[in-house]
Amino acid sequence: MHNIRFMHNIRLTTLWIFVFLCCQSAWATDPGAREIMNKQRALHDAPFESSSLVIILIDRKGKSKKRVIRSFKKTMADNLSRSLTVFTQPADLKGTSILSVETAPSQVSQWIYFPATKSMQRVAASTRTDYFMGTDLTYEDLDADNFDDYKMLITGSEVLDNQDCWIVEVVPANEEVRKTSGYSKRIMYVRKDINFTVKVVFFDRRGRQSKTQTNLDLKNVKGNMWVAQKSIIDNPRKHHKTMLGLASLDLDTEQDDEIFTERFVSSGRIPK
Amino acid sequence: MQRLMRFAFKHPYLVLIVLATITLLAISQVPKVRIDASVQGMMTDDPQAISIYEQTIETYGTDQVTMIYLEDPDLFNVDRLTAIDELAFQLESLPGVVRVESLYSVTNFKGTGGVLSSGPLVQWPPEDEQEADEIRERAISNSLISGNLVSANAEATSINIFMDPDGSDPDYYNKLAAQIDDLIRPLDGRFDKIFQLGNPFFRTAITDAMMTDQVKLVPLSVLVLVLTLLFMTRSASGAILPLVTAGTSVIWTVAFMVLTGIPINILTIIVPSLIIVIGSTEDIHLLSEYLEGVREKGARNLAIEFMISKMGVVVLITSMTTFIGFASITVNKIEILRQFGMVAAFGLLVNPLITVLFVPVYLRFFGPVKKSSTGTSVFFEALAGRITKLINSHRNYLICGLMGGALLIGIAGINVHLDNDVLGVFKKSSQIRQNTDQMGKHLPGVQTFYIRITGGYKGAFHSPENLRQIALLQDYISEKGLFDTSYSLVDSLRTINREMHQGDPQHYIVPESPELVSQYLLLMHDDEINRYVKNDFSEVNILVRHSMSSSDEQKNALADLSIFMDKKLNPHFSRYFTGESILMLEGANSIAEGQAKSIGLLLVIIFFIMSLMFVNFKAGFLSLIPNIFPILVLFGTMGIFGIPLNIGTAMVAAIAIGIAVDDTLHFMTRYNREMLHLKDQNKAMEVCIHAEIGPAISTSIALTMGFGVLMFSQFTTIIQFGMLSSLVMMTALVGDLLLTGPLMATTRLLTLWDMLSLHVDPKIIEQSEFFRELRLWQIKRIILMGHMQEVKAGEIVFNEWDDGDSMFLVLDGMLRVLSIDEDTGAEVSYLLCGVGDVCDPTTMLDPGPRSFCARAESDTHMVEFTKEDFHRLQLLQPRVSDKAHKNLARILGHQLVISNFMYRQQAEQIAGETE
Repeated sequence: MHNIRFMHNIRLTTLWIFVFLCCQSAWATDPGAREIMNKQRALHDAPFESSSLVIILIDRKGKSKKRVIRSFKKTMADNLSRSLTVFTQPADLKGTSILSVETAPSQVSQWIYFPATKSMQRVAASTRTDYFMGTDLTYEDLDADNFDDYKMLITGSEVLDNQDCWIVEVVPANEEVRKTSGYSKRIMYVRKDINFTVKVVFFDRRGRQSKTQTNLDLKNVKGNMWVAQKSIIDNPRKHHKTMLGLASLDLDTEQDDEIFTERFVSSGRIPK
Repeated sequence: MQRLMRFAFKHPYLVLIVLATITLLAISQVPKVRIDASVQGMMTDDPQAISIYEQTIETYGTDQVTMIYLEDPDLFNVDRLTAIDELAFQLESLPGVVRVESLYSVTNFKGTGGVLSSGPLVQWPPEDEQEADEIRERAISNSLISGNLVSANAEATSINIFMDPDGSDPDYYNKLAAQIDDLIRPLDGRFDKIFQLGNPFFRTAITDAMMTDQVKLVPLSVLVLVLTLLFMTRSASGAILPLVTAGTSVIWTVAFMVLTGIPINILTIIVPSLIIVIGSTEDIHLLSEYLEGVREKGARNLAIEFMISKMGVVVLITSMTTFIGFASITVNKIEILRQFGMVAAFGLLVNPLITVLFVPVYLRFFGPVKKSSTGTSVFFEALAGRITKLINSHRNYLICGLMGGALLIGIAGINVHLDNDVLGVFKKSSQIRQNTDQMGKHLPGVQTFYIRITGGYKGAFHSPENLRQIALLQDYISEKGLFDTSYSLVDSLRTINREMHQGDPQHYIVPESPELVSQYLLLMHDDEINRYVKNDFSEVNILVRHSMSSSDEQKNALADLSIFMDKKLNPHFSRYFTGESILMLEGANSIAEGQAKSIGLLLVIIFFIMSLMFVNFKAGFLSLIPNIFPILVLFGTMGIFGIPLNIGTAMVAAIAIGIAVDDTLHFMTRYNREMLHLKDQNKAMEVCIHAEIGPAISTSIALTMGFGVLMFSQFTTIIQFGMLSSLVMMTALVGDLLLTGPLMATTRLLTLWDMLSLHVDPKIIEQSEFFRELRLWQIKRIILMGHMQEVKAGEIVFNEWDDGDSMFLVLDGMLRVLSIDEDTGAEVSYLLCGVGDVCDPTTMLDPGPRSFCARAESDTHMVEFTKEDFHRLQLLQPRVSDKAHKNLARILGHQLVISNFMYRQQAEQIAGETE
């Protein structure tokens, strides 16, 4: 099982689809979708990684705010993943951290650490539909999803930026998931040549388009593994955009398990 | 005007064709007239205030909000919460809607047991009543929701719809209100109360009310006018003429509105009624003169000529003063008043033009020729008799009493307050006001404005110290109850801080460090932050909501707030109040300024017109008094009864002067005419009152009734306008009847056209010793002070020993001065007085028996000057009088020399005969 985490937002859709691939029942009716997801997981997932990301928030007038974060992810020995996101800029946010711990398959607990009070607060599960850290992403976008909870279907193909893409439609599989999710549907555009998701269209619980994520500047980082160096989340309803830029990516250095603990995070230290 | 009337009389068909052609062209434009129910026109046009407002909207987003109020004793149940969810969803899809705030979108921060939750208060409609109850508990326990989005008793909530229309559709707000109405009507039975309030609905309500007014007021104005005129004039023409001329004027005016892009709004809507009412007065005066012409001359054509000769100039001047009265409103800074001033001024400019062209044509074909004395004229005669008796017996008491009383009432005018609120235009009994009150009982009002506080440097409002000042300000607003509620970033920060401390109310305070402020703000979406703080944190924006319906209330609350801010806020901070309601509030100040300007300008213009017309500043001053009288009564009444100065009542004074001065002018003109004829001020005044009382009362009653019709309007402002205008019309009538007469009797009036029409033979100017060194207008002035006389050749002008107090100036012909020898009975001729000579100045200077006889040698045209005339000249024109006296002294000196010479000759002759 794998989680989707903010620190990996650049590869968000890739990973998210990968999560689906692990649930046979959800996509069993569409072998084509399964094949795509399997391939995507195989190609673009890594057991550990660390990266630096630049987040730019753009308001209705085009004015921007810049944040820089360091993010770390690791699949632990129990095959459950953990991630840590730490703000490094601006100075007044430095050290603010979000720790995500997969406690069971598809069950994630999150904590926020505020260096100004040196305190940690657990984030309630009900917060998942709320926006995350001033961005246009929600906590839900970062959560792990249980594949059994979703139905997935290839609905066609479309050429985006001269690249042929599959159109994959994802909807909650049952009423419970539908009620806890902020989305009634997600449509993904997956490049056929490299099995990489380049665009996701999100639909709110009423079925209206709410935002769009576009992954750009794709780069082959290792073997057949690709990453998007830039990602734009356009939220027209709020007249707001979030841009994510991948400043650095390290797929080779494995982090200590210790950095993914409450004790480490609440110490205020920032992993290298 | 006389030329136009004569032209129309001579060329009736041409005039009718021209009028009909223009009217048909105008009719083609009428359907294009635009309706504007917006309240933008009520705002100030101060560029700085508008710029601040536009910057605010640009920076913090739209302030255009409509609220749907939902109330039910059992609001939080499955059915109603499901209905609210469905409604909020449908509202989000409406065009131009940028945000919908409801139970399903409002953020609910909660910190319990070390777990922080955020997100919408309600995600999905509840599935059972227990879940609904939980939602209810969450709502009333959240200080950001309870008392704001949900009433404290959880029986009322609102859905707030924020709009940002692109402005290309002028009918956007009406359409939106209709769409919202379509969505909420089916829910009528599911909630105890459900209605919308806010800008779109206000516009729709205004449009509906305007339409109702138009359908009701215009026919009512016509009916009242016809009945009044029929009753007062007892003539079908008296009713038909004003309707035709006013109707045509209305069509031309509407075409003017189309061509100039002025829409029908809450003020221009009354212009048709005004034109019908005010425009009728000239028709009545013309008809009155015509009927007098019929009585005096008999034949229709002669009566028309009589009317033209007497009324041409008067119509011109009265039209000018009425036009200026309305045009003076255009000096106002409020657009809606300027538009009203322009439209009404145009209408009342073309109305007299149409009247002078159409009336002679109409009378030529249909003019009544029956000489009759009506019941009303008997009544008017009796009334005039009483009034003249009163004036003659108590003139000074009357003037002092009326003006003193008006001054006393006028003092109450200092209590008049300003009002320019959009809700204030609706009646208290209107549904919109009742709904506003209902909402005000449970939730913050629908009216909003912003308080922008600028720190002057980047990051100023990251500082807890500065944020605490904002908190202090908001707490003051809340504790003093100045406004219903205020909201800023500080509220969110205090709530997050409290919830981070497990909901401990002790921690409902601003976070302690700038870092913590920044870190807490990560829990909010950037867009939500940007609505209340500038991107660089140099400025904060506080949203204030209220339900006040009077500018005065708002002004007082803002003044209180300003004092607090001056005392408590960092003195280096700049602060602005802005928003549509603030622009309207500033518009209220403009109303007072515009009012003062309009009245001042109008009085000055009238003063100069009257001074010029009567060639006398005193006349100008006197003409103002009867018109200041109703203005004092007007403001006093407003002060006593608490009627505010608003966009409706602000027009009354200027319009009233413009209209009331017409009657003053008719009185003064008539008085002047009678003076030239009667040579007696009191008699002239009496005749004047007898002659003018009929048309004055008729027009005043017609105007009063016409304005009174406006009391049936849907708008409070127009009702107040109608009521006060009616009052002013009646007070102006009292002023004209009881003040103009007595005041006029204190002076001798000349008119400019008397001066212009008087032809003075150049020989007089060259030859007359009496007029030496005097200019032509001074000569005319002196001539018009006297009494014109004509004598036939051989007629005796006066006899020796006749008592006299006057001298005679020969304008044409010749007088022989002579005496009869007592012994022989033979005529002894002393002197021949030719053109420019004066005859017997000694008797004028020293009244008594004349020392000789004067006889016309040929047909002679002369002016008689009495001692009283010269005394008046001395009072009114001292410099001219000085010169005239000098010239008289020189003439007397010459005559003395001649007399001496004649005595010497006679003495030498007697001496020679004796020797």
